[in-house]
Amino acid sequence: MELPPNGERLRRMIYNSYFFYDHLLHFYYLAAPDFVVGPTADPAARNILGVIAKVGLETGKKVIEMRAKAIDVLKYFGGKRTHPIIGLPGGISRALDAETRDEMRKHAEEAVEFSKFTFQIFEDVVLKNKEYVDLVLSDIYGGQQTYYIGLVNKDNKVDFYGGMTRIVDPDGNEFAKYEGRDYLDHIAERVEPWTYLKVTYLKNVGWTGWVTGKDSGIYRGGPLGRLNASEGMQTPVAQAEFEKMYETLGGKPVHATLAYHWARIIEGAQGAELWLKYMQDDDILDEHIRNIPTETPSRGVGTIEAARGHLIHDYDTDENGIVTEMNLIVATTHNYAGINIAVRNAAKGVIKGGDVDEGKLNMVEMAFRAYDPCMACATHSLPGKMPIEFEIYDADRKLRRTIKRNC
Amino acid sequence: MLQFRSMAAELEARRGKTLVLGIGNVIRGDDGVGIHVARRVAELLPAELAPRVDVDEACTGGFDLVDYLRGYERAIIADAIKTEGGEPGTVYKFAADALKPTAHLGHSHGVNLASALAVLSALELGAPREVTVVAVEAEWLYEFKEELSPRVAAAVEEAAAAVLEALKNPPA
Repeated sequence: MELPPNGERLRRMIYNSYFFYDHLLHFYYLAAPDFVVGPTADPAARNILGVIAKVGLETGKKVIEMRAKAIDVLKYFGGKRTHPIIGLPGGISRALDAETRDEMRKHAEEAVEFSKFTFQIFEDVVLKNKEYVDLVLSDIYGGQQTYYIGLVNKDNKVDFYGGMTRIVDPDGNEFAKYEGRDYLDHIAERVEPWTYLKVTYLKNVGWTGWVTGKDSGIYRGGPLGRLNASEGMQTPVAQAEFEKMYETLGGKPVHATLAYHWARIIEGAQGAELWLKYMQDDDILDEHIRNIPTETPSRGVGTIEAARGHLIHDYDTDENGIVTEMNLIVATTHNYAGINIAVRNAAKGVIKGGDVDEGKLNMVEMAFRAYDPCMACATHSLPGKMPIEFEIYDADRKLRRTIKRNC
Repeated sequence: MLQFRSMAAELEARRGKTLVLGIGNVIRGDDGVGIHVARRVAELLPAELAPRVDVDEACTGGFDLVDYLRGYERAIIADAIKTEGGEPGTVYKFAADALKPTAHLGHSHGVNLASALAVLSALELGAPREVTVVAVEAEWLYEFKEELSPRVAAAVEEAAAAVLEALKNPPA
């Protein structure tokens, strides 16, 4: 069934505001400690509190404020800030009145300005530090030549909400472009005995093991994957930074894992700009926001870009609309092979001669963190620690040392 | 219908009040016990306390806690806990400063309660002056179940009573 135009417009507006705040949070609170405080700095200071100490209270406050202003939008339409109920079959939960629109538009304007400010922070902290640029391009975090996946609009520009799925090869050439419902013709899943997560790969290239390159079906999504799979951004501020990133990092596609951070703030800017664009469109006040479904579907496939990457939901339903079969391929699953290889490469690059310390372990974690993976966010019991175990092997595959944290 | 209220307006409305926040995931067995406790507190909340107490639920443990907590004078958190050798259904009550912030954040959902409080304090953004945790030792923590384990279910009443008892006293 078709959505009324303003049902889709409102969904897109809200979804872009979400992209803005989700990416903003990751950059300042998770990526910045490694760069602002330093990748091998004392772990006691290498966190958001250390970042605040260096960049100042006002910037820290501004991040929280901007995030809250974007979440205000979700809360208005979805009733609550976490797990809001916004998208309904055939449309959206509620319409927008002019007074509320005016208020929200101010938030969107601020978001665009804050995105520009964030680019300046990135310039000052990372790009003006040759050591960091070299680190981004080093073999430790680079050289992972994979395919890339992301949704694009009709002009092959990055789209978070709709459009077609585009896959490019490690040289940046289009390999496939398809409607999301045809994903089974392109994506395959395999089971490994050592993990609950399945590993996805490109069906038409095949699985050749934990290797990258054109003959390996391993692909990556998420911010860098999406930018690589596209021909640009939809909005001017994001597009200018997109061009700057590829020029700085040696052309398209960029394979360096740490470039995910740069790609993430570029996407955040597009989120802010599109949020504002929709708020400036008077048609967003149209009260026809939903077409009521009249038929019972038998199958539905939804494809969207979550902040962390490509997301596929596939449902079969019976005559009562009850789900009989389902398949979800979530963002981190698409990136799982890439994450594992990135961590392996970083460990190989950083740890030499069995010499391991806290700083080196963090540099390995940086490869993991760049993807903002969501491995286990379903349970939240106290005390809320993230268990992690490092096993250090020598060249003969003999276990030399185990380091456990929060296990 | 919910009106648009910005965070700024919401903060003003929280001034001087206590938040009772249930944290957990009700489809993950005992992980959701905090939510059950909060709902019970809402049912039993005396009318005279209602104007200065908000009861809310957070099915998240991440950075969203910052937004839930900021601006309140006091917060009482109800949650599940897993301690070494702990007896399921045991109810604990302790000050939140007994918890340690997450030292190494791997992802944006890795922010815990102590980290959220540390951020609020560092940014001078209205951290509650007093944060108490009422926690129930969990048994079924990693299973998909909508119900609580029998011993944890039996502890909901005791945990809710502990929250209500704490609410009788004004914030320190």
